[in-house]
Amino acid sequence: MIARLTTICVLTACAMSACAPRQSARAIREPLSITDVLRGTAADDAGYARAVDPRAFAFPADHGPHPDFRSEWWYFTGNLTSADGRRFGYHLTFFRNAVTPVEPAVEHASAWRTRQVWMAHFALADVAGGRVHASERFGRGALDLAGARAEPFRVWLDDWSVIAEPDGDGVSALRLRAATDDGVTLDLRLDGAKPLVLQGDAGLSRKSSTPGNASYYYSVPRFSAAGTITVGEGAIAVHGSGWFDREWSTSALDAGQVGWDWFALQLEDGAELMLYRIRRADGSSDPASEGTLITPDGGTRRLAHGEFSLAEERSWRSPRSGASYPVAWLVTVPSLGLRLRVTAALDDQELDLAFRYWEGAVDVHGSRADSPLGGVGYLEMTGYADAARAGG
Amino acid sequence: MTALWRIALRGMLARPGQPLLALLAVVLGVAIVTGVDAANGSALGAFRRAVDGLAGRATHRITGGPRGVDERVYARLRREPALRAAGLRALAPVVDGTARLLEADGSRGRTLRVVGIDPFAEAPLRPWLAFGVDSGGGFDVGTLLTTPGGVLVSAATAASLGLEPGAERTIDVTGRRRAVRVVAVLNPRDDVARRGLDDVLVCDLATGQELLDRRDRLDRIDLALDGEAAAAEVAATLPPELRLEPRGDERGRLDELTRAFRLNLRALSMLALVVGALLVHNAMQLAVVRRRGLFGLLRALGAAPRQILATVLAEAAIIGTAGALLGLPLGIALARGMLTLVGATIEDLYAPVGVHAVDDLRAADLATAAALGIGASLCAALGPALEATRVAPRVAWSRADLERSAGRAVRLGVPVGLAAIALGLAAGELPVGGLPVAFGAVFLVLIGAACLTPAATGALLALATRPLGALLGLPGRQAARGARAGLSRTAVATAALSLAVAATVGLGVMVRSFRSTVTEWLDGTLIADVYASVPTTMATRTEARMAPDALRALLAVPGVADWSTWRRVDVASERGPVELAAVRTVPASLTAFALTAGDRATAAAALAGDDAVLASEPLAVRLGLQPGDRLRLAGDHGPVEVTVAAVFRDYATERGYAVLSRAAYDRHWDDDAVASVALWAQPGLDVDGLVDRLRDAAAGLDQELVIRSNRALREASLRIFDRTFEVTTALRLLCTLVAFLGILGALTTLQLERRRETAVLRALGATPWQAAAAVVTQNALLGACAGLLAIPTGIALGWLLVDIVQRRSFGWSLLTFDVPPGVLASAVALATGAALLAALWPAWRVARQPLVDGLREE
Repeated sequence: MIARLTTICVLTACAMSACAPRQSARAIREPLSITDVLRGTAADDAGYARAVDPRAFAFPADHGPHPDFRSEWWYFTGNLTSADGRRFGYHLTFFRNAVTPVEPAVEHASAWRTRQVWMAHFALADVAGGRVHASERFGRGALDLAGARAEPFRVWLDDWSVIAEPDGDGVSALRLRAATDDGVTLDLRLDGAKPLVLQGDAGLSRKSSTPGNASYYYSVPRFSAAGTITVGEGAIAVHGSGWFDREWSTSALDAGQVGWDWFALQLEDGAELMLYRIRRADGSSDPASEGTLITPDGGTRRLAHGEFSLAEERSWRSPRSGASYPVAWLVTVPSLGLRLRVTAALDDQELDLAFRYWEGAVDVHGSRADSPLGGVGYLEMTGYADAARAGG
Repeated sequence: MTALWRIALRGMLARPGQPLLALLAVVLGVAIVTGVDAANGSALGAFRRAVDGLAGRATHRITGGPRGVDERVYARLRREPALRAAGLRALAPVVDGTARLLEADGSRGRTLRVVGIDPFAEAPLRPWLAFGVDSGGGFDVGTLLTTPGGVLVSAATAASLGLEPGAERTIDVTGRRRAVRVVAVLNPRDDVARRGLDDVLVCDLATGQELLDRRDRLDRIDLALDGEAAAAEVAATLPPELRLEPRGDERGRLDELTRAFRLNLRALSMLALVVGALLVHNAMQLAVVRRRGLFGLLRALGAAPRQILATVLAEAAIIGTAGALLGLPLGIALARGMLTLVGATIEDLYAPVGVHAVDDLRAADLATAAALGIGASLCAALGPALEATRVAPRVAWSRADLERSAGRAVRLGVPVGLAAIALGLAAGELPVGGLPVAFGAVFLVLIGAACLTPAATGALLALATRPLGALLGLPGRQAARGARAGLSRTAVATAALSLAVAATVGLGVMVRSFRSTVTEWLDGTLIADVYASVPTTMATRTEARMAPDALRALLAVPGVADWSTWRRVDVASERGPVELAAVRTVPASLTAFALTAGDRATAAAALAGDDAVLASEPLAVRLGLQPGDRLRLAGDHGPVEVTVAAVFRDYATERGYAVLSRAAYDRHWDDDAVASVALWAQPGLDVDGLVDRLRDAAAGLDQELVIRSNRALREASLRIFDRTFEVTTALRLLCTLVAFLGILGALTTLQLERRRETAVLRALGATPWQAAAAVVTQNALLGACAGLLAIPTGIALGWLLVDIVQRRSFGWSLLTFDVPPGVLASAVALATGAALLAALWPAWRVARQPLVDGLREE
């Protein structure tokens, strides 16, 4: 999730200046510097709304866009299995980013004139096939080319979309559709949603000790998913789970914050665990790192920085970026008696898009108060490619 | 063979004057052909690069009716997953229009193309314009999106216009002033992409719609499609007013539009080469005559006729090759001047493409021009070379033999010439072949006339002997007889001069007839008192849209009794794009159309609102339309079938157009735009006063209008007409220059060969000045003959150009055939003057020649 903040900021950076000095078409495939991006954009937050205090959420309106904030996203991830046991992960995310705080004044403005830029990422991890198929789209928030609406719920960019099913209420039943240019498709129905959860302090999620460096953040931590995917030879019926994250904000991180690791784990006992760690340049975790345990009945328990630990057990080095990603973790939450081994379903889930990050399906094996407990989830890791570039 | 080449080379070096002049003629001929080729090619190249560079990787495009493409169609296509699955790889919206950069003094400067794109859709098609991907110089999508009037320019365009990031300029878009600001400078590495951005202002689609006043509309959608099945699938989802076409269609557009114009220039440039070839012929003829003894000796030593032939041809090949080698660079230098003239006409009439630089000619083009030069030289030398093979061993031709042989050639020229003329006239009558055949016919007639010239010159000189004797006494008779006797060496040069002068006469007659016709036509067509239009050129006429408030302001001016409006659009038809003029008529309008086919009642019904059109003569000729024929046009609500009610005389465009009543247009097309308005003053009102009041009314508008009285519009139209013929004039003068060189060479040789004759004259007591005067008089006689003979040839040529080229190829039947006496007089003066000028040096030589040297035989 915070990593998604990076995503947005990278988008901004691409839009604002970072592409300028690049020398070749390959350059876009080189990782952009997240921290530079954040520092570069933090200076011109003036004019945007800021996430400073907890707010009163109103649904379904808050499922729709908040155009006065610089950035916002609709984030869907989940794990799928086919009838013959093939394992897949999916990731479909829509990002909105405002390039200026106010619309420029133009007389008889064209319908194309907008300050809202949209980006979408779609990735399908084929564990048996040993690869992740990733694709991205860009568009503008005009002429219905891209956008989001609260009621009935809909978020889309070109032909990629997430739309509320007619029998659903708010976001309780959704249809996800996306396809890459080389024919990998996703058509999924999510339903059976757990109640949505406000993350952080009643939905205000602080990213650093600086006031305003925060987002409004809520999640629907579990859906049942069913539908079809196409990868290679024809359509495959799949079923599994889904997780929906919503976040909007204007400013990001402090200097000295270099990346983050975000976990969204769906446990077999019906609970979910969300944890994020913000890494600092000196290797330590920022005190703003935190988490939430969602109980099977939808109750939440906020986990402070000191209440959990994330230990890296194995790393995988990307042959493309040279970045070394921890792909096996030991997650412990002593106060809950949780001790979970989180391992990547596939080591190489680094997404080679406009910027590089690792976003992928994970398996959970472990115990809660000494009883075995498994699960699945999604893990996001950013800032590693920057470190590799800085180091190399 | 080496020996033969050496003989050829030595032959030329021994007497370099004549070959040198022939060489100069070839140089000029090749240079003119190359120059015209390079200018034509550069103009087309600039257009193709603009098309290709901006098409990027698009394979197809969707275009619409007069108002373009509804932007909602684009949004719908983008959201359609089925089309992606069917093979729609990429699609991107484009608005595309022209603007003029306003100079500091407010005048309209360079024509620029304004292209609005969506940087988020460009990655698969034009990555250098895409968001997030390398754009060479790089640009800032946020700034591009949110800067009103924000534009990107290529580094080359920025340099040539003196722009840098942050620079602000004002552009004029069909009379509306718009501020633009340079957001960034692009420098794509891809050469095609970079050159496609020449003179282009790239902007965000929103900015493009705002700058070009295209709200809600796109000019096209560019697509990348996987195969024909995908194309069919996409085409099937389009509303009736939209069409999917392959990208190549656009590429060929300027080629087709300017084909006739370019062919005209090419024909003129070939004329220069033909004149040059005649001079080579002349030079070779003289060389053969001079070396008849040598050839006789060579034959006696065992040389085969074939080898003699090769020697003479080798000489021609040396002249041709050297001429081509020198002509090519000269032609490339000449191209710059030609390009200014050609580019201006293309930009005025055909397409708003600025042509500023001469492209490097492709090796193939250079090779063709060189081959033409060498080939023409060899062909021209074939006759003399065959003549040389007939020299019997050891038998040197006597002077008398030579003159007999020349006389045979002159006599042979008569039937050959007559046959060529007859063939040319017959070819001109052919109903097929179009412009190339028409020009071929013209060339045959010209060559026929050239063949007849020696015999005709001889006859003229014979006729002139007695009157000249009466007028000038013995020197007069001598001059006429001398000139006649020397025809063996001067006939071809005289023919070349006559040909060049005839071309001048013919083109003069054609242009004059055309101009008289256009003047007369304008008188009949411009029936309103005042004309108001949006400032566009012919090339951008379909972009002209007058703002509704501008039209209202004009019509509200007191004193306007009635008005008629015009709107020109390109619409698709089953026979290719057709230009349509939607005209709101007044009762008098019908009189402005001079019908050449069809009856007035049907034409009146068409103008009153029937589904019927009046076809302009060029359109009728091009599409083979006659009254009663039907034409299926692509309307905004589906196909529109119109009847051709009548054909009318028109000289405005060479591709022609169809006039449709505004009522019918409004029924079938959703377009309320108007490009120009014709206004009638109330009876008795002072028109100049009305023009002033209309200008006052238009002064406060956002859109600048051009408001002109009937007289001013007529003058402006004729100015454009005259400008399009500037190239013709330039080429005409170049042809005459080549001919002048020819006559200079021929006369110089003639006089040098006659040194003995003049020496005898001197020995008999003539003063040096009398001898020189004899030379000058002979030349003047030859020049006058060439000029006189050029008159009938020129008039015939003029008639052919009017009848075959203008009428049958363009569909322009001229109302008058105007033979201006001035052109005829100047033809004789030109030929005589050229001949006199050419006589100066030989005369000076004759006067200075020591008597003894002259008396000695070679």
